[in-house]
Amino acid sequence: MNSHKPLYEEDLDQLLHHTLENKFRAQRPSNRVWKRIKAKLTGEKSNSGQFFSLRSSLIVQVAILLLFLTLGGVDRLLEQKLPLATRNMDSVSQNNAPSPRTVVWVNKELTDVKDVELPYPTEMATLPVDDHDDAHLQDIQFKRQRLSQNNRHYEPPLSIPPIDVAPHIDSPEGRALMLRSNMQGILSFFMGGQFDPGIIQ
Amino acid sequence: MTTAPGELELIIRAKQGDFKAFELLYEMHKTAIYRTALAITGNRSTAEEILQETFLRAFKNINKIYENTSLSPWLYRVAVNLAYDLTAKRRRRLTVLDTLKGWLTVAPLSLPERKVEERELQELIYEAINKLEFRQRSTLVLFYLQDFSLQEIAEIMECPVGTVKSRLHYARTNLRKALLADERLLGGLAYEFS
Repeated sequence: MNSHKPLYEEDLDQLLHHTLENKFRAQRPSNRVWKRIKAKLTGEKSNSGQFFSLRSSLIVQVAILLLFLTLGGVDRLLEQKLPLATRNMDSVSQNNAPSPRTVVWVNKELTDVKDVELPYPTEMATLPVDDHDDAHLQDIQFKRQRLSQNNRHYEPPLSIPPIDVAPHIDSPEGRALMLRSNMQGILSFFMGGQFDPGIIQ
Repeated sequence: MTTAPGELELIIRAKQGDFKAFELLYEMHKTAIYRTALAITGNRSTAEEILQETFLRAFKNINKIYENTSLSPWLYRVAVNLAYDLTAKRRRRLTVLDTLKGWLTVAPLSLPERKVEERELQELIYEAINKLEFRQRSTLVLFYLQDFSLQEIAEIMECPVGTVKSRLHYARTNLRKALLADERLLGGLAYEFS
């Protein structure tokens, strides 16, 4: 390094210029830079093209939908104006329809129902009669109540009727009476007969 | 900066969506932008990245560029700003010496001894340039490499002319200090600068 030529302060500008010029004069960017730029820009262009094609596709779809809606409206209008088609018979009002009729033959003077001769077997003209219709309903109601009570774990309040008739020993009232009686006995035993049975109610 | 002949027409065509015109604009400016980015960053791949991003932004903002002004200030401004961002990121993991190693290894050994010495000297000076603060380095590169005037540099860097002068002054002063402190230059340059 000692062999460098002297560099004066006023030459610093020239030195800097030469340094940078010599260093970078031959430098050029590679061709791949433009290829990358082009790839990115054309990629964006194609994306925007896809967007436009998508948009046009949407427009076509909307147009077709509107067309169908319009045709549907026309169809309904025509249905109201034109004579009823067969497929719409369900919606026809039956007010003016003739009542169903059964043709019977009368050969003699009518004194009884049996005098009427039906064109079909007699048993078909007789509705089945259920004598226990009411009992059936009561049974359903009972089952429904039981089911409801079981689901809710409902227990009616225990009340001991103040009547002389002793309840059944297996009934809740009977079991409560027995329990009270036992408690009175036990307490009377421990309290030496000074127990007031009225405190257990 | 006035619009170069033909550039105006290319800008107008590019604004109208002519991709070929944009490619010609790229061909017109690519080398200068690349060299500037390379001189500021000292890294080829970074410089190419800056060049690429600068023209991608130019394409996207082509409609904002005035037709009566040159494209150059806008391109340089974007390139310098990108160089600042990328240099700040890469400086953490790439030392200046690592970068210079690449430059030094490309020196052809077949050159005469004097040429080699000059080249080594230039490398040391560039190393000192590369150690300057970013704004001073950018100003120096635009001034000495691209021969821009103070007014043009002020336009590119979006600052007053006085600031450009100040940056150039401090860049020279710091360069002198760095070269004086460099032991590799002792005996050859040091006493000349003092």
